[in-house]
Amino acid sequence: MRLMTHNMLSCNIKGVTNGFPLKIEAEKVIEKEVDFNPDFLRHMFAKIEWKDLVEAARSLGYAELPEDSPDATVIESAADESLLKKLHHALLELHLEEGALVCPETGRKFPVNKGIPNMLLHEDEA
Amino acid sequence: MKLKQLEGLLGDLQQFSHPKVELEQYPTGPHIASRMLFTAENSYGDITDKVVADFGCGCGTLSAAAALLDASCVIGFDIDPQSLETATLNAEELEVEIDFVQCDVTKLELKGQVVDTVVMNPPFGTRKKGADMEFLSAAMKVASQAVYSLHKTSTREHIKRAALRDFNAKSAEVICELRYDLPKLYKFHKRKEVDIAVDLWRFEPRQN
Repeated sequence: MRLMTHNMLSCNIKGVTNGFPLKIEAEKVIEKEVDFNPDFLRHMFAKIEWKDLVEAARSLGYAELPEDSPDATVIESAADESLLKKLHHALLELHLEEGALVCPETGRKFPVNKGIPNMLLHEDEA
Repeated sequence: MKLKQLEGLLGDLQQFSHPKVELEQYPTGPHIASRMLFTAENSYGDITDKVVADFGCGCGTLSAAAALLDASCVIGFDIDPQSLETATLNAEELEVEIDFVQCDVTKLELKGQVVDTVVMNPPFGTRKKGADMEFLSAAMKVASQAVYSLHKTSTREHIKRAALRDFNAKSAEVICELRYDLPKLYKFHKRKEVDIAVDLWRFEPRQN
């Protein structure tokens, strides 16, 4: 599971109001290169929560993203793509293979095995 | 990629080894899958460079098609762990990246408007009544651009009404009618093979 996907998932347990973002407990992380698509990344930048992504990337062992959300003009500028490359790496090239996603409100752990998070709720949670 | 090539690649994928009838697990054949995604991209530009979600992905046929047509990110969602294992193997075989999530899509809440397009071959509701509508409702909440879905032609008017009235659809069009050839998969199937008339739908959600 990559951070692009993690960025969308939240805890659906009945009654939980603060189930996003899920904290990451990483036991095994692998990296796989994929093609760099700057236009796509510029488009995505507007939709993601930067601070949440920075923290999630750190949980996977990647600390190169700047803490503060970059200015939109920096992202838009065609000249310097180094920041976009870091965003690319964080969103699309880091894979959480084994570990867990943890609900920030209840502490409930959703296990991640072979890269697949299990978000199924128990009967009493739905 | 040409349609024939796409169809060929999808035809090599592994399918359900022990399909579960209560989940209405039927493989999406390469003929339907290739045409569905090819049309979505060539006629509407909904796949290449987009974030695509496959609801009820099963063994990942539609997800694979999206990845082969250069979606920038493909995520497959399914409730059944065995199917997801097969889907993972299929993605590895094709050397494409697809994220898979095990969950009940009808109870899923995805944050943000990150997903552009949802593609799906949902259960028709023959085992769990209303499953087709639940899947459609969920898809319409998640997609920001378009939903592509297969439903029995016999439910056409019902689907159109529900989509426009209840599921926030700006438009609901049947793109084409296809024959879904179902092989004898389950013990209760009497005939060796049967053809079901299905509609390929394209729904556009209203902007939130």
